[in-house]
Amino acid sequence: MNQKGVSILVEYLLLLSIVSFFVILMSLQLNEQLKEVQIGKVIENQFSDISAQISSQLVDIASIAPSNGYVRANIYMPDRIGDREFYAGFTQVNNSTYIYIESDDEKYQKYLGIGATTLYFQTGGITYSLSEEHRMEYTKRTVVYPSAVLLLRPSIIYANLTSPGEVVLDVSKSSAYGWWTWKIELWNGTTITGDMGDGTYTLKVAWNPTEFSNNCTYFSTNLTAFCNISLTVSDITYNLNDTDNTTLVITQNTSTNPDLYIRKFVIPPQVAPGEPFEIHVFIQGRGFITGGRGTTLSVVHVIDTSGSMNGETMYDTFTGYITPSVWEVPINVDSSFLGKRIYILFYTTDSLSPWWDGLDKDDAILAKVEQADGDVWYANGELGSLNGRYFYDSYVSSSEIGTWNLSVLAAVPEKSIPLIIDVYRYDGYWNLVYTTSTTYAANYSTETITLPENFTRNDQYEYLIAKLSSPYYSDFRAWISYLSTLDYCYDYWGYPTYCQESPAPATNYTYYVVPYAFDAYLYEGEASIQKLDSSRIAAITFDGILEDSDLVGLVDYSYYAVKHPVNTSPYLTYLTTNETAVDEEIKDLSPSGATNIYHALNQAKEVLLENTSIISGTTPIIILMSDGEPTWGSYSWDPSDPYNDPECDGSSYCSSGANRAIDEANSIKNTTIGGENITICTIAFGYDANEAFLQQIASEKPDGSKCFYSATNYQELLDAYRDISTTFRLSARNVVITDVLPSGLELVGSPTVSVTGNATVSNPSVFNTTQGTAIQVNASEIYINDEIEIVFQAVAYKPGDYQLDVWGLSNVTYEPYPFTGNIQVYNLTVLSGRVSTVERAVVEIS
Amino acid sequence: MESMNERGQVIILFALLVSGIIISLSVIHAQNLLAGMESSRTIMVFPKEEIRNLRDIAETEFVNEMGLRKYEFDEFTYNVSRDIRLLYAQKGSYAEIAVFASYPSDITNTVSYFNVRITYIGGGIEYNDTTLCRLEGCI
Amino acid sequence: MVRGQMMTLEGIMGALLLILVTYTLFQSSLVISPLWSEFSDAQLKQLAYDSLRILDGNSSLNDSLKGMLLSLDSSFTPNQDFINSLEMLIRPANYRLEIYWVNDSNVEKAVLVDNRPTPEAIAASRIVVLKNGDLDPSSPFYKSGAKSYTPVVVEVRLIVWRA
Repeated sequence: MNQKGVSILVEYLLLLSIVSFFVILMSLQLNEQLKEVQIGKVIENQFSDISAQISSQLVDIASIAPSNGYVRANIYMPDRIGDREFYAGFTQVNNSTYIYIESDDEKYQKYLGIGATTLYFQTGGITYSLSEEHRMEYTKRTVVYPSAVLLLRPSIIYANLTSPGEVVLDVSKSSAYGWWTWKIELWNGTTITGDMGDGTYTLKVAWNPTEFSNNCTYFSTNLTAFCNISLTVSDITYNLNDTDNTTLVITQNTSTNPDLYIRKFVIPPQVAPGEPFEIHVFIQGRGFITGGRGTTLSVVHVIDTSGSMNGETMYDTFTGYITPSVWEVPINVDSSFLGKRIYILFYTTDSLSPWWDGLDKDDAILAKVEQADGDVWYANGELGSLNGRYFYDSYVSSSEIGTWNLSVLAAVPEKSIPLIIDVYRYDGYWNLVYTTSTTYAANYSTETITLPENFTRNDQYEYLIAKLSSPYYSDFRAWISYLSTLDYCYDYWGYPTYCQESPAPATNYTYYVVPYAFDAYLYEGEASIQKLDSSRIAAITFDGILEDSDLVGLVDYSYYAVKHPVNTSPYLTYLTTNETAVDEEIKDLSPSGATNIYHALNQAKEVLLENTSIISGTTPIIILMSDGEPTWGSYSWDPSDPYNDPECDGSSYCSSGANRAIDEANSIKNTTIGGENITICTIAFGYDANEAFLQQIASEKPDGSKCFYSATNYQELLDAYRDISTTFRLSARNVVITDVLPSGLELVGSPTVSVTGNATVSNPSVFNTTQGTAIQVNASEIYINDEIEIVFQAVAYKPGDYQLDVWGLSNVTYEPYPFTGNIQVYNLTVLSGRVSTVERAVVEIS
Repeated sequence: MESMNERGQVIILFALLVSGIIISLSVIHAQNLLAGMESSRTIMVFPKEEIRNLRDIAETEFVNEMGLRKYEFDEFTYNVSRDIRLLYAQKGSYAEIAVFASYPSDITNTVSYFNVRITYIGGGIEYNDTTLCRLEGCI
Repeated sequence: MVRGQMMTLEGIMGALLLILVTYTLFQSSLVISPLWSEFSDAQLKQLAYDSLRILDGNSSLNDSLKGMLLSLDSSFTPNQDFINSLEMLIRPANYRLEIYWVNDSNVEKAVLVDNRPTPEAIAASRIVVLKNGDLDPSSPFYKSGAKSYTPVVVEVRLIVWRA
């Protein structure tokens, strides 16, 4: 028996196994400890490295951040760290964003804060370490919103069945990012398109009551339609759009009261915080100038009837091209003519009536002979018995044998005449060798000159002169035909184409221009009438545009001024609302004498001051027209002895007369009737008028310029009168524009006002109210077709939707027609604008 | 004799075990040394200055030439873009400042604004930006 | 018998000792990251870029990049004002200055300041745009016959290393 419990081997094995067991256990533990700790460290460091890489990429990207684009950065990470795969990305914990790396088995995590960069972009995304590619992408889009603004000029138009109205659609105040296109849709469905290069579009509107009653708000009693027009602006970079609507008033009734057309718009409708909105308030005087109602005027016509007013002024001009009709005949002058006499006849058998009646009919034909050797001769000889000319050569030389070119033209308009050419050779007797004929029709041109009716007494004008200007008159012949008269035109010295008809009835005149040279081509001519006749037309036309309630009077002046009684009322003699009475007086004026401007002004003042109680409330105007300068009426001149003036000679500039006139003008301009100063408007008519003097006399218009016009012909005179009639048309009075910015919005800089037209506008004032900052602009008068635009900038710093004005406080108050003191209030539409950060940038890991 | 052999074997066995542990630990440790490579490398390589340089050229040089007529301006910007592309291609990157739309003013015939796209590819990143530039600045 | 057991015990103790030592050793292991030398290179690179950017001023200044390029002639020597400003900015590092420009689709190169760089040198470059109309005909960039607004694009490369 053994004393040991086990054999040595078994004991050994036992011990070995127990010890191995323990060692394995311990080593496993240690493995866990050692390796895991190391792996933990390694992973910690590698994660720090990767997160630091992502963070530095992020910061670098933020430093070069594109405002509208993307940045793609590669992230490098090993496939596995310490045998572990992992995820990397962004995560949110407690409202803060972190870069987050986590191992697959969720044992190891790393957070790295990214600080304040989250203010600039949103983060998101995750990537797995085993993916082939790791990328961080930053994208940002900046969007600028388009803004559509549609303005109408004018906002009210007149249209009837025969003539359409015209309005200009103005889209030029719209804006967008880059290039944009626009589309306008009318009330009847018509669409008009264009792009940024077309700022305006002129639209013709026809009168169509059925269309208006279907698509617009239509009032058939006063024939007025309110039609809606909408504009859509789209930009092509982002495909965003904005719309704007406005109303166009179409009416057949021109006595619509004038009014104000008010629009408010903001550019752009969406901004980033701290970027300003630009707010516009646009006001247009709406109404009709002719036929509409405005201020009542009291007008005194002061017309110069001095001797020089009998002179000519241009009435009309004309010009044209004619290619003369020439009959060309080549004849063969053969050797049988050698040494012989040759006689060529050019004539017509026609009586040339009625054109050449009473004149030398031979002159009607013009003939030219071009010989074979190049010599050109005009056939100047006149035939007696026949109507025509002849050419005679006593000896045909050998060089002249060949083809001769004969050219004939006849100055006979309208009718065709037979033209005959006879060629005689003297063979001992005059032998008719050759004859040829044709039916000839001349090329000619007609010009029509119309003298209008109802402007002169018995519809007779003092004279009408029609002529072609130099050097054209030598190449043509002219006739003038009217009613039953046909006159051949030539003047006292025999210059052709000059026709003077005196007296000239008010009718159509046909002026025939007939070429009288082979190379006639271009002609220019003019028609003139008496200056006083021209003023008659202008003044009577002006009276025609006056309102029924306007008062008008007439003073004419030469050596002295004469007031014309036009009214039988006991209260007023020299002013009347019946323009016809004044027109009749105008028709009877006749020119002779000097120019006494002092007395003219003096008498015009008396006309206005005759009964100020009636005139009070109207705008008193004196329209002084002169074609020369003061030659009469000095300080020593006395109206009781009008033809005597010791200081002036009646034909040249008289400085004493001028000074007296200027003094009178100044006193008139300072005279007020019913609170309104008397306005003097002057018109310088013709080339001899003293413009400097007339300009000095004139008053200032509401916009600061002088009421002075210079006219050299009938048309310009008419334009001057027209302009005077529109300058004084009010559409609104005592206009106060107030716009209140609610608190939350801050005014940037100072507001600006731009004015087109004659309106007087004050500078904008800015003050604080309990509801916010107010901007106020005063306009004492706004005339028809004036435009006022107020622009100011407002900014908000916090994002949100803002109301850009305060309803009720932001308004326009004004006194509309008939200006009785009744105040009308128009509340500005409340616009809203949005303040927001643009689309945020996004950083994504994938 | 036998026990001496066995002892030796056991010692060798344990030695092997321990050395195995040391080797695996050193492998893990070696990975450690690689830490820090990535972040410092990216700092070196990120082409921040190149991109800023391209933006400066678009915002300053091109805007200064807005007084030229449209066709002259297009020629100028095309030449600059082409030369920049060549110079960067030499270094292995792609850079381009492309003006893809320039708008002349109706009144003066000079360029009133233009759209430009700046592209840069290199250094592990791809950059792309589209801006609208006026005389007053770029947005 | 006792000797055998003692041997075993010795072996185990030895192994345990080794393990203990290894454990202690690795518990406090040193982590070396990042590569410190690279950091200072990054600083040098930023310095070089910043110097180039500072020098890219108004072309009327003699020491600006544009001013220096405009005054170059065929000897390719930059003017002294420019050299002084550049050296002041990147002191105490050493530098080499090269330019590259495009001539008819070829990239041409010139060395303005010729020093030999070390292997640890870093490079920074900046692109400058000149106009043909501003150039003197003696300038190497001048394109005769081209319009005044024809551009000349020059890359200025600055290679810097620590002395």
